Amino acid sequence: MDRPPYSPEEAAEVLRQAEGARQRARHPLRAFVGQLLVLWGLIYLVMYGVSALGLADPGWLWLPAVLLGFVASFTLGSRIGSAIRSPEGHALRKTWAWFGVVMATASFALVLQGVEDPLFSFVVNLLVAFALLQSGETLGERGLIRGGLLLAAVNALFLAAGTQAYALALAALGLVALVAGVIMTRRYAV
Amino acid sequence: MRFDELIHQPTRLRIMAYLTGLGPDAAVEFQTLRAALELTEGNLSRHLSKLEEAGYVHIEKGYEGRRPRTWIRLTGTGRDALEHHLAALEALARQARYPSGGEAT
Repeated sequence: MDRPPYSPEEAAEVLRQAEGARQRARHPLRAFVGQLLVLWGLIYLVMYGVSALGLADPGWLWLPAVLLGFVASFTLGSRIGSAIRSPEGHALRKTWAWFGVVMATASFALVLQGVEDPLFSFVVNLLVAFALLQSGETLGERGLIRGGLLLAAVNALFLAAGTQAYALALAALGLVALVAGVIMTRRYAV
Repeated sequence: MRFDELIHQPTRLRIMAYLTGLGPDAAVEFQTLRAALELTEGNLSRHLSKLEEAGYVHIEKGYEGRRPRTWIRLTGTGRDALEHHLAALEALARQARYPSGGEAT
């Protein structure tokens, strides 16, 4: 086909459509990230919010909340794994599986040493921030990298501010994640 | 300027562009692709068969649990063909932006 099958204007329109389809391939992944942000944003908002407002000490309630979060996250992950198979997805699964191992080990050691909040949360959130950065680099998603950096910064800045101020900052971060997640989930709904 | 007759068809171009957007060595499940491009099963199947015949996509059928699944992946040949076709389109589209034949500096 040597003779151009389109006019220059039609070619420009076809290129736009092709670019639209190419961008659409990233939607399932971004919707998945949005769902995770909603899930973990909600967990952070409720758990740290309760602590910040002095309503209750979540303490051991964190364990079922985090376990529930992990199960839900891996369920969502397996759903996207059924939709798209990619080397990045495989790397992401491994990153978070190892994160679970490291997190469990760290938590065990911290509990054994009687370490309490905010130091306990600081260590956990530092690991979460690193896993978010790693995931962002793997997927080439700037939103995840920004989220990881924000968590690391808030985590470090509010550590010395006392338990309640720390909890308030993390609850606020949970709210930001929740709102961002809702926006992403709606924008990239498949 | 050489256009690919197979990819010239708009639906097939969108399929190929979507597969490129997944990244190298990635595959998409049939129903996900169908929903993303808002096509019927029959329509998508017909276009995929033609792309597979040309060696532009690789189709793999299997099971996930008990559910039958079909996975579609762009081949290296398909990626090259799409790149050439898009380059030809881009050259043509430039004529719309710069009708005199010159380019912006």
